[in-house]
Amino acid sequence: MKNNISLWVGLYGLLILSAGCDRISQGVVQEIEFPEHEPRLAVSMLCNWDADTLVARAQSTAGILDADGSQKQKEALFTLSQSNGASYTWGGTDDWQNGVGHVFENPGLEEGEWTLTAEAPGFESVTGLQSTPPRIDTLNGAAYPVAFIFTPLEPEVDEWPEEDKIFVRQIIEVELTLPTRDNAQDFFLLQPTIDLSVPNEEAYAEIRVNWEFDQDPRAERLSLIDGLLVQEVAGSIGLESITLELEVEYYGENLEGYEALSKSLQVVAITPEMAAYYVSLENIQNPSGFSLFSEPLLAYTNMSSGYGCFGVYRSIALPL
Amino acid sequence: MASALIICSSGVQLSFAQTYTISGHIADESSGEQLMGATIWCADQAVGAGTNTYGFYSLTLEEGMYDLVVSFIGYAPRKFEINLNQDIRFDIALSPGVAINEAVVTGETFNRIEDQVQMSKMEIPIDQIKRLPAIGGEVDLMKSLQLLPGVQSGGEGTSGLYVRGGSPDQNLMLLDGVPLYSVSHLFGFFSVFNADAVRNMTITKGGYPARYGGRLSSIVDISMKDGNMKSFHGTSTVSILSSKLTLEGPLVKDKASFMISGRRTYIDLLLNPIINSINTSDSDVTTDPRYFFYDFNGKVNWKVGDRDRLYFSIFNGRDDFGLASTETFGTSSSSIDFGLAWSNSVAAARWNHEWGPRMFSNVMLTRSQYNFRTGVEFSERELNADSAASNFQFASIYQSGIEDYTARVDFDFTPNPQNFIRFGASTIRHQFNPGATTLQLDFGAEFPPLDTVLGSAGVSSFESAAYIEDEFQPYERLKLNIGLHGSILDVQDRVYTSLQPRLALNYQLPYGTAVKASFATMTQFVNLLTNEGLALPTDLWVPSTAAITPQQSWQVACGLAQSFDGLEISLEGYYKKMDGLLSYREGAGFTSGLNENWEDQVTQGEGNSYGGEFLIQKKTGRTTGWIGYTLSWSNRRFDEINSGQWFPFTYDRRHDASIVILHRLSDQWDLSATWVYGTGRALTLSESTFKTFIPSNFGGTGTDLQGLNIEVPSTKNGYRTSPYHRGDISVTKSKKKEHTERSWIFSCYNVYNNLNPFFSLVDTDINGTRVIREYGIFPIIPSVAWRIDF
Repeated sequence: MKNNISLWVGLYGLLILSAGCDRISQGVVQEIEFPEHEPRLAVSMLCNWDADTLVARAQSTAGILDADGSQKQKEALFTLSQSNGASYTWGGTDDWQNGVGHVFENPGLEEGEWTLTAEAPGFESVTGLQSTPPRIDTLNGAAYPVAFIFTPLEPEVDEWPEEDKIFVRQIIEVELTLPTRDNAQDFFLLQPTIDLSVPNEEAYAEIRVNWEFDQDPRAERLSLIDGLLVQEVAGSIGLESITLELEVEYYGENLEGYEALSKSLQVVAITPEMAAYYVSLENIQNPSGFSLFSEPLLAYTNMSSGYGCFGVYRSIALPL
Repeated sequence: MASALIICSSGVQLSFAQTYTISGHIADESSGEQLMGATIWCADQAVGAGTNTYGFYSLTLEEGMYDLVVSFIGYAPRKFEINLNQDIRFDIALSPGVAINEAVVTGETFNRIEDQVQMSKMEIPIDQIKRLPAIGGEVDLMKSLQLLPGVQSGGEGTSGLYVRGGSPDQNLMLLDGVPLYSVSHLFGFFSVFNADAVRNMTITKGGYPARYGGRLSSIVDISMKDGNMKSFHGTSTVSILSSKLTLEGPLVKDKASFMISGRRTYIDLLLNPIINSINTSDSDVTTDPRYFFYDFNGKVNWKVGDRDRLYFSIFNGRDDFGLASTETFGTSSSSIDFGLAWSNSVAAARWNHEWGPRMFSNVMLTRSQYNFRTGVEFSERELNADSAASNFQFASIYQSGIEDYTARVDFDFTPNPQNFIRFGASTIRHQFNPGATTLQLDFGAEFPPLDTVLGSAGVSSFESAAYIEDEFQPYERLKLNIGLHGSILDVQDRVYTSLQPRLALNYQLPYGTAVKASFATMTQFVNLLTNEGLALPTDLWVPSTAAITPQQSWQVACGLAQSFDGLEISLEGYYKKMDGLLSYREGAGFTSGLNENWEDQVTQGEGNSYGGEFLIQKKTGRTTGWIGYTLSWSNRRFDEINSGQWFPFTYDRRHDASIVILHRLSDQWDLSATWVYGTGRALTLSESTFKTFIPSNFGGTGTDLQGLNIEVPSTKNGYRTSPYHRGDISVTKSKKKEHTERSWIFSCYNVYNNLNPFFSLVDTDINGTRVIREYGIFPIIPSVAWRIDF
């Protein structure tokens, strides 16, 4: 018995040495195939409800090994519908505009809850739901008002005589009070814009949020739009008295050219779904931390396919 | 609830005439070690009692003559006749060693699986655990629990427990009644429990009795050895990873005993000379890597009198991983030291008192502490022309931890044979340090030094609980355990209260099969913040706060149980609903939050898990072991993850199976083998791409769209790794001499060398093609260990 057992133990040891060592040499990494990707529709329709034209885009999704990648779907059809029976369909190659997408002339769509349905040959149709945000306004007594105080500081001017140019830097202090509703979440995008309306001259102008300014916790940086996402946070009093600084830079011939610049702050009321979509895209484009130690990032979606977003916004430009 | 219990108890008691109680302790004859779960059975009345954690039993019967049988697995049963005409105190000693080869559990017992009201509770005898195959010959209690149905491992080689779809923080790990927060050594590959120091271990996966609370998914109750009351003994094991030594013996024979046990790895001691010999080519550079863990258990047990006993126990364990390097250039030198260390320490004082034959109490004062520290320290030193040293020093140290002080009292009360009442209360002061980074900068005398702390502030809280439960038998075929557990948390000026009803029933069908059912609600006031992809000691223990609500669950389970000729068979189904689960938000994690408040990085959600478990277990005879199978589902939903949609929990395993066989070939040779299979882990991998268009200029016409190519996972945890399966084998050769027994243990982990994935990544191969790579860490690992018992 004892000898038999010793024999079996010895044989087993030899088996390990002969068979096991060979496999150890192959390493402890194995490559496996990606799961087969089933293409779906990724729909993007993030539109200003008050604009004359609304644009929708449908793309196919692709596996990351697919060399052709995501493809535009020119034959896609889009339908906006409401439960009261209102329904508008556009799309196909007739409504396709190169470089833009499927354009829909806005007939003056009502406010309320809308369903977007997108269909394309060879794909399962997808839907998304949106409730339009209120129209934002600066008027006293408006239902969804924005109040603002802009305080431009004295511009700093550097003259560069050898180039016959000047460089101007100016800080504009901003204090905003944005509307909040009791029964809904309110989200806003703030985007400073500048229009260099001095054609055919060597000039340069830029406006941006001054990141050195101590940021209000309700305003989160969104590099995708070079602006801010504003929302209520725990411990804050609504969206009153949000403070920030804008920084304007100009390089041009003279101070008149600088003063002729058209500067504004776009205040954009967006839906919670659109806010979530921007935040997730921002995080994907600019991840923080080491990926191995962080939770994976997924793109937010409110489309039934799992890709893309139907979002609605309304905006107002506040001249600076 | 409490009044209902009393009425019920009183009603039953009225039907009895004069009753008396036999009570005492049941202990191992050779060591004096108290036996938990031993039974005393009165066949005439078909009633019995079991010993509690401290070996105490209490059996109340009507006046009369009775034949009683005392039994415990692995021990020869004892029969005796008793004339019960007064309360009797009777300590009983059982002889070990007779029995593993014989079926000593007969029909005359109280503790068969079909007799127990408690369901979803399992125990692996320590003797069996020590004979199981182990990585590097290092026997691990947690890994042995992973072989049971309903209990899953986190990943290859790791010792974390995922019980019925729960996460590791939802397991209450009790060492001599004291909660332990981190039970891992070596990044989770070993647990902190030294099998040589442990007397008993049970796991409860559901149907929790009211005496337990504070966690959602399981109770792992581990008791350390009390120490041999009769004579001095010891055990020493030398394996390729570590050595350990356990000593026990009487301080005063039959009155007081001690047990001490220590273990240390020596990877660093083996590797350092090799590394230093390699570095001799460059005398200007010295490198000092370090990794070791150690743990120490100690216990003193003192019988103060017939009715009183005191226990003092401590545990201390520490892991230290790091690298120190010094480089010298002429008159300047620089040094860098990176380190990662975590430690557990536990201390407990307990007082057992018998208030009478029917009432037993245990009072406990404990302290439990877990600390984690990581960081880097860099310094540069240069000698100037005037020989004045010019220094630059930088240090960034991250620390987190938790410290508990607990006071607890438990009572066991047996008013009559039909009722066994337990009640008690506890209070815990938690002190959490959920992550803070200390930054120190010193540029020398010319600049002011920087010394600041960033991160989360500490949080303290008081958690109190009280419970009452009654196990009773209203009808011959029906046994019930009804209880209520209430708990309160006082944190940050907010008070959370929770009432948790518990119910378990056992109905015996005419042919002996027991139908069991249970319902339990649980509340948990502590959370472990962990990244799903990789569990590390960096995981943060954080409390419920004013902003973070407690975790809560309810679980319903039902099943069948029966034993046949030494075989125990059980089949259980369960459904568990969990709320208030805590997770990092998408994109957040340990490294992104070093300087931020942890509360800003988390989100709360819900989960569910359901499934069925089958177990057939043979506990006696030359061949023992079990076959277990679990079919289960486990899902999660968080508003801020996966667009608010449900997704599978990362340890959602559809199939999980295990086969464990232990066979005693002869008095000298033991053979054991295990085989496990589990469905692949659910992972989130970027495997799809799409193009989206978003407005980039809101001042335009609305048609200025910016196209973005996005590579993302299609859904959270939508990908499965390859299935996990592994076979292990172990052969033990023992040789007994007059005062010693020496054993050689040959074991082989992953015997057919299957590559089991530890983690998976999307990577690029040499052709530039994207591939999914699965990284395994443990190929076939043969090992040998040597043990001596004296």
